[in-house]
Amino acid sequence: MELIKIEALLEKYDDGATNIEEERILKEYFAKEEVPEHLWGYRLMFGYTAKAKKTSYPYKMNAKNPNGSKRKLYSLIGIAASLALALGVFFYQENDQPKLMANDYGTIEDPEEAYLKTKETLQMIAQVFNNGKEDLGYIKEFNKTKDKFINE
Amino acid sequence: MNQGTFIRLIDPIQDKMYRLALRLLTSKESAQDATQEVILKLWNRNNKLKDYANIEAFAMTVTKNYCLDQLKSKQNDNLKIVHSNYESHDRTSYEQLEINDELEQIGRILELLPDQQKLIFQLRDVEQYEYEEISEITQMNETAIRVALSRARKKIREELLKTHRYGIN
Repeated sequence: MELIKIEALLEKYDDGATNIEEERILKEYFAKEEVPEHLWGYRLMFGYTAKAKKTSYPYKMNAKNPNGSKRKLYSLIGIAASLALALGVFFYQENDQPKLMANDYGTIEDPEEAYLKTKETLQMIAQVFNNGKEDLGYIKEFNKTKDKFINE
Repeated sequence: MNQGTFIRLIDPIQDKMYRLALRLLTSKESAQDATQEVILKLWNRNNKLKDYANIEAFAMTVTKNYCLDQLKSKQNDNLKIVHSNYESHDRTSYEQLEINDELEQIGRILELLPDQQKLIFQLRDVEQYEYEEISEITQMNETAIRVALSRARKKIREELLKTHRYGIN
Protein backbone atom coordinates (compact mmCIF):
# COMPACT_ATOMS: atom_id res chain seq x y z
CA MET A 1 0.00 0.00 0.00
CA GLU A 2 1.28 3.40 -0.93
CA LEU A 3 2.50 5.62 1.85
CA ILE A 4 0.24 8.49 0.77
CA LYS A 5 -2.84 6.35 1.17
CA ILE A 6 -1.68 5.13 4.55
CA GLU A 7 -1.05 8.66 5.70
CA ALA A 8 -4.49 9.71 4.54
CA LEU A 9 -6.00 6.81 6.46
CA LEU A 10 -4.00 7.73 9.55
CA GLU A 11 -5.37 11.23 9.44
CA LYS A 12 -8.89 9.82 9.31
CA TYR A 13 -7.93 7.44 12.10
CA ASP A 14 -6.85 10.29 14.35
CA ASP A 15 -10.20 11.98 13.80
CA GLY A 16 -12.09 8.83 14.74
CA ALA A 17 -13.43 8.65 11.20
CA THR A 18 -12.10 5.32 9.96
CA ASN A 19 -14.32 2.26 9.70
CA ILE A 20 -13.37 -1.22 10.86
CA GLU A 21 -12.16 -2.24 7.40
CA GLU A 22 -9.83 0.77 7.14
CA GLU A 23 -8.49 0.12 10.60
CA ARG A 24 -7.83 -3.47 9.61
CA ILE A 25 -5.78 -2.24 6.63
CA LEU A 26 -3.74 -0.02 8.96
CA LYS A 27 -3.22 -2.85 11.43
CA GLU A 28 -1.91 -5.10 8.67
CA TYR A 29 0.31 -2.40 7.27
CA PHE A 30 1.99 -1.78 10.59
CA ALA A 31 2.29 -5.46 11.37
CA LYS A 32 4.17 -6.39 8.21
CA GLU A 33 6.03 -3.70 6.41
CA GLU A 34 9.05 -1.70 7.30
CA VAL A 35 7.53 1.48 8.60
CA PRO A 36 8.94 4.94 7.86
CA GLU A 37 10.42 6.54 10.93
CA HIS A 38 7.94 9.35 11.28
CA LEU A 39 5.18 6.77 11.73
CA TRP A 40 6.78 4.89 14.62
CA GLY A 41 4.19 6.16 17.09
CA TYR A 42 1.41 4.58 15.05
CA ARG A 43 3.39 1.39 14.74
CA LEU A 44 3.60 1.15 18.51
CA MET A 45 -0.10 1.83 18.92
CA PHE A 46 -1.15 -0.81 16.45
CA GLY A 47 1.40 -3.20 17.89
CA TYR A 48 0.07 -2.55 21.36
CA THR A 49 -3.58 -3.11 20.49
CA ALA A 50 -2.75 -6.33 18.62
CA LYS A 51 -0.83 -7.59 21.63
CA ALA A 52 -3.50 -6.47 24.10
CA LYS A 53 -6.11 -8.50 22.23
CA LYS A 54 -4.20 -11.68 23.00
CA THR A 55 -4.64 -11.37 26.76
CA SER A 56 -6.97 -14.06 27.96
CA TYR A 57 -8.95 -14.64 31.12
CA PRO A 58 -7.00 -17.15 33.20
CA TYR A 59 -9.95 -18.81 34.91
CA LYS A 60 -11.95 -19.51 31.83
CA MET A 61 -15.07 -21.58 32.04
CA ASN A 62 -15.50 -23.92 29.13
CA ALA A 63 -17.49 -26.99 28.24
CA LYS A 64 -14.77 -29.41 29.33
CA ASN A 65 -14.27 -27.73 32.65
CA PRO A 66 -17.57 -26.12 33.65
CA ASN A 67 -16.36 -25.25 37.15
CA GLY A 68 -13.15 -23.93 35.72
CA SER A 69 -12.64 -21.13 38.13
CA LYS A 70 -9.91 -21.94 40.62
CA ARG A 71 -11.94 -21.06 43.67
CA LYS A 72 -14.80 -23.34 42.78
CA LEU A 73 -12.31 -26.11 42.17
CA TYR A 74 -10.71 -25.55 45.55
CA SER A 75 -14.04 -25.62 47.34
CA LEU A 76 -14.96 -28.82 45.49
CA ILE A 77 -11.70 -30.42 46.57
CA GLY A 78 -12.42 -29.31 50.13
CA ILE A 79 -15.88 -30.84 50.09
CA ALA A 80 -14.53 -34.06 48.58
CA ALA A 81 -11.79 -34.28 51.20
CA SER A 82 -14.13 -33.78 54.16
CA LEU A 83 -16.59 -36.30 52.70
CA ALA A 84 -13.79 -38.82 52.31
CA LEU A 85 -12.69 -38.23 55.89
CA ALA A 86 -16.22 -38.58 57.29
CA LEU A 87 -16.89 -41.76 55.30
CA GLY A 88 -13.49 -43.11 56.25
CA VAL A 89 -14.16 -42.70 59.97
CA PHE A 90 -17.63 -44.19 59.60
CA PHE A 91 -16.58 -47.28 57.67
CA TYR A 92 -13.49 -47.79 59.77
CA GLN A 93 -15.66 -48.29 62.83
CA GLU A 94 -18.23 -50.35 60.98
CA ASN A 95 -15.80 -52.81 59.48
CA ASP A 96 -12.94 -53.14 61.89
CA GLN A 97 -14.82 -53.80 65.11
CA PRO A 98 -16.06 -57.34 64.26
CA LYS A 99 -12.68 -58.25 62.74
CA LEU A 100 -10.87 -57.48 65.97
CA MET A 101 -13.34 -59.56 67.96
CA ALA A 102 -12.96 -62.55 65.65
CA ASN A 103 -9.21 -62.43 66.20
CA ASP A 104 -9.72 -62.70 69.95
CA TYR A 105 -11.27 -66.16 69.73
CA GLY A 106 -8.70 -68.94 70.10
CA THR A 107 -7.59 -70.67 67.00
CA ILE A 108 -6.14 -73.84 68.55
CA GLU A 109 -8.07 -76.88 67.29
CA ASP A 110 -6.43 -79.73 69.27
CA PRO A 111 -7.94 -80.04 72.83
CA GLU A 112 -4.69 -81.34 74.34
CA GLU A 113 -2.69 -78.43 73.00
CA ALA A 114 -5.41 -76.04 74.09
CA TYR A 115 -5.26 -77.44 77.62
CA LEU A 116 -1.45 -77.03 77.78
CA LYS A 117 -1.60 -73.52 76.40
CA THR A 118 -4.27 -72.54 78.92
CA LYS A 119 -2.28 -74.03 81.78
CA GLU A 120 0.85 -72.21 80.63
CA THR A 121 -1.05 -68.97 80.41
CA LEU A 122 -2.62 -69.37 83.88
CA GLN A 123 0.76 -70.19 85.35
CA MET A 124 2.23 -67.13 83.78
CA ILE A 125 -0.55 -65.02 85.27
CA ALA A 126 0.02 -66.61 88.70
CA GLN A 127 3.71 -65.83 88.47
CA VAL A 128 3.00 -62.22 87.56
CA PHE A 129 0.65 -62.03 90.51
CA ASN A 130 3.36 -63.37 92.82
CA ASN A 131 5.85 -60.86 91.49
CA GLY A 132 3.33 -58.18 92.29
CA LYS A 133 2.80 -59.58 95.79
CA GLU A 134 6.52 -59.39 96.57
CA ASP A 135 6.39 -55.67 95.92
CA LEU A 136 3.68 -55.37 98.58
CA GLY A 137 6.42 -56.01 101.19
CA TYR A 138 6.97 -52.29 101.36
CA ILE A 139 3.52 -51.85 102.81
CA LYS A 140 4.70 -53.61 106.00
CA GLU A 141 7.28 -50.86 106.48
CA PHE A 142 4.57 -48.32 106.06
CA ASN A 143 2.43 -50.09 108.65
CA LYS A 144 5.30 -50.17 111.18
CA THR A 145 5.66 -46.42 111.01
CA LYS A 146 1.92 -45.95 111.19
CA ASP A 147 1.69 -48.18 114.28
CA LYS A 148 4.35 -46.12 116.05
CA PHE A 149 2.22 -43.03 115.82
CA ILE A 150 -1.18 -44.58 116.35
CA ASN A 151 -0.15 -46.57 119.45
CA GLU A 152 1.55 -43.67 121.18
CA MET B 1 -31.01 -22.18 30.02
CA ASN B 2 -28.81 -24.92 31.42
CA GLN B 3 -25.18 -24.69 32.41
CA GLY B 4 -23.90 -26.05 29.11
CA THR B 5 -25.81 -23.54 27.02
CA PHE B 6 -24.71 -20.72 29.28
CA ILE B 7 -21.07 -21.70 29.02
CA ARG B 8 -21.27 -21.92 25.26
CA LEU B 9 -22.79 -18.44 25.14
CA ILE B 10 -20.30 -16.92 27.52
CA ASP B 11 -17.23 -18.73 26.22
CA PRO B 12 -16.26 -16.39 23.36
CA ILE B 13 -16.98 -13.31 25.51
CA GLN B 14 -15.00 -14.10 28.65
CA ASP B 15 -11.68 -12.84 27.33
CA LYS B 16 -13.19 -9.59 26.11
CA MET B 17 -14.85 -9.04 29.47
CA TYR B 18 -11.59 -9.70 31.26
CA ARG B 19 -9.61 -7.37 28.98
CA LEU B 20 -12.15 -4.60 29.50
CA ALA B 21 -11.99 -5.11 33.27
CA LEU B 22 -8.22 -5.07 33.10
CA ARG B 23 -8.22 -1.84 31.11
CA LEU B 24 -10.49 -0.11 33.58
CA LEU B 25 -9.30 -1.56 36.87
CA THR B 26 -5.61 -1.94 35.89
CA SER B 27 -4.85 -4.61 38.47
CA LYS B 28 -4.98 -8.18 37.25
CA GLU B 29 -6.44 -9.45 40.48
CA SER B 30 -9.32 -7.01 40.55
CA ALA B 31 -9.95 -7.68 36.87
CA GLN B 32 -10.16 -11.41 37.56
CA ASP B 33 -12.49 -10.84 40.49
CA ALA B 34 -14.62 -8.51 38.42
CA THR B 35 -14.87 -10.98 35.55
CA GLN B 36 -15.90 -13.74 37.90
CA GLU B 37 -18.48 -11.53 39.60
CA VAL B 38 -19.95 -10.49 36.27
CA ILE B 39 -20.16 -14.07 35.00
CA LEU B 40 -21.96 -14.95 38.22
CA LYS B 41 -24.33 -12.01 37.74
CA LEU B 42 -25.08 -13.17 34.21
CA TRP B 43 -25.67 -16.71 35.41
CA ASN B 44 -28.11 -15.44 38.03
CA ARG B 45 -30.04 -13.66 35.29
CA ASN B 46 -30.02 -16.89 33.38
CA ASN B 47 -33.72 -16.95 32.50
CA LYS B 48 -33.90 -13.38 31.29
CA LEU B 49 -30.64 -13.67 29.38
CA LYS B 50 -32.14 -15.04 26.21
CA ASP B 51 -34.44 -12.03 25.93
CA TYR B 52 -31.48 -9.84 25.12
CA ALA B 53 -30.94 -9.52 21.40
CA ASN B 54 -27.20 -9.07 21.74
CA ILE B 55 -25.92 -11.02 24.70
CA GLU B 56 -22.33 -10.02 24.06
CA ALA B 57 -23.17 -6.32 24.23
CA PHE B 58 -25.17 -6.95 27.37
CA ALA B 59 -22.30 -8.85 29.00
CA MET B 60 -19.90 -6.04 28.11
CA THR B 61 -22.31 -3.46 29.51
CA VAL B 62 -22.57 -5.34 32.80
CA THR B 63 -18.77 -5.61 32.93
CA LYS B 64 -18.34 -1.91 32.24
CA ASN B 65 -20.89 -0.91 34.87
CA TYR B 66 -19.41 -3.25 37.43
CA CYS B 67 -15.89 -1.91 36.88
CA LEU B 68 -16.97 1.72 37.00
CA ASP B 69 -18.82 1.00 40.24
CA GLN B 70 -15.70 -0.61 41.62
CA LEU B 71 -13.69 2.46 40.71
CA LYS B 72 -16.22 4.69 42.41
CA SER B 73 -16.33 2.69 45.62
CA LYS B 74 -13.67 3.56 48.13
CA GLN B 75 -12.39 0.05 48.54
CA ASN B 76 -10.65 0.40 45.25
CA ASP B 77 -8.83 3.59 46.09
CA ASN B 78 -5.55 1.84 46.73
CA LEU B 79 -5.64 -0.48 43.76
CA LYS B 80 -3.89 1.81 41.38
CA ILE B 81 -0.78 1.66 43.47
CA VAL B 82 -0.41 -2.08 43.82
CA HIS B 83 -0.62 -3.39 40.28
CA SER B 84 2.43 -4.82 38.63
CA ASN B 85 1.16 -6.19 35.40
CA TYR B 86 4.05 -5.61 33.13
CA GLU B 87 5.06 -8.92 31.71
CA SER B 88 8.58 -10.18 32.02
CA HIS B 89 10.46 -10.58 28.79
CA ASP B 90 11.30 -14.11 27.82
CA ARG B 91 12.67 -13.23 24.43
CA THR B 92 16.11 -11.87 24.97
CA SER B 93 16.69 -10.23 21.62
CA TYR B 94 17.64 -6.68 22.34
CA GLU B 95 15.36 -5.21 19.75
CA GLN B 96 12.46 -7.30 20.98
CA LEU B 97 13.09 -6.07 24.49
CA GLU B 98 13.07 -2.50 23.33
CA ILE B 99 9.82 -2.97 21.44
CA ASN B 100 8.20 -4.60 24.47
CA ASP B 101 9.26 -1.70 26.65
CA GLU B 102 7.70 0.70 24.22
CA LEU B 103 4.48 -1.28 24.12
CA GLU B 104 4.35 -1.24 27.90
CA GLN B 105 4.78 2.46 27.73
CA ILE B 106 1.54 2.71 25.78
CA GLY B 107 -0.09 0.71 28.54
CA ARG B 108 1.11 3.27 31.03
CA ILE B 109 -0.08 6.16 28.90
CA LEU B 110 -3.49 4.52 28.61
CA GLU B 111 -3.73 4.42 32.39
CA LEU B 112 -3.57 8.20 32.42
CA LEU B 113 -6.61 8.61 30.17
CA PRO B 114 -10.06 9.31 31.62
CA ASP B 115 -12.11 6.14 32.20
CA GLN B 116 -14.45 6.92 29.36
CA GLN B 117 -11.59 7.20 26.86
CA LYS B 118 -9.99 4.02 28.18
CA LEU B 119 -13.29 2.26 27.75
CA ILE B 120 -13.83 3.42 24.21
CA PHE B 121 -10.24 2.86 23.12
CA GLN B 122 -10.47 -0.66 24.49
CA LEU B 123 -13.75 -1.43 22.75
CA ARG B 124 -12.72 0.03 19.41
CA ASP B 125 -8.98 -0.29 18.95
CA VAL B 126 -8.45 -3.49 20.87
CA GLU B 127 -11.73 -5.37 20.45
CA GLN B 128 -12.72 -3.74 17.14
CA TYR B 129 -16.40 -3.31 17.88
CA GLU B 130 -18.56 -1.40 15.43
CA TYR B 131 -19.76 2.03 16.56
CA GLU B 132 -23.33 0.75 16.95
CA GLU B 133 -22.17 -1.90 19.38
CA ILE B 134 -20.03 0.54 21.33
CA SER B 135 -23.02 2.83 21.51
CA GLU B 136 -25.13 -0.03 22.89
CA ILE B 137 -22.50 -0.88 25.51
CA THR B 138 -21.68 2.65 26.62
CA GLN B 139 -25.08 4.29 26.08
CA MET B 140 -23.29 7.13 24.30
CA ASN B 141 -24.15 8.48 20.88
CA GLU B 142 -21.86 7.81 17.95
CA THR B 143 -20.55 11.36 17.66
CA ALA B 144 -19.55 11.45 21.32
CA ILE B 145 -17.82 8.10 20.90
CA ARG B 146 -15.85 9.29 17.87
CA VAL B 147 -14.80 12.43 19.71
CA ALA B 148 -13.61 10.49 22.76
CA LEU B 149 -11.79 8.01 20.55
CA SER B 150 -10.08 10.73 18.55
CA ARG B 151 -8.93 12.38 21.77
CA ALA B 152 -7.59 9.12 23.13
CA ARG B 153 -5.68 8.29 19.94
CA LYS B 154 -4.14 11.74 19.67
CA LYS B 155 -3.29 11.85 23.37
CA ILE B 156 -1.44 8.54 23.21
CA ARG B 157 0.80 9.70 20.37
CA GLU B 158 1.33 13.07 21.95
CA GLU B 159 2.55 11.38 25.15
CA LEU B 160 4.75 9.04 23.13
CA LEU B 161 6.35 12.00 21.42
CA LYS B 162 7.02 13.70 24.74
CA THR B 163 9.13 10.79 25.96
CA HIS B 164 10.75 9.90 22.64
CA ARG B 165 11.44 13.29 21.17
CA TYR B 166 14.68 12.11 19.64
CA GLY B 167 13.22 9.26 17.71
CA ILE B 168 13.59 5.53 17.78
CA ASN B 169 15.41 2.94 15.71
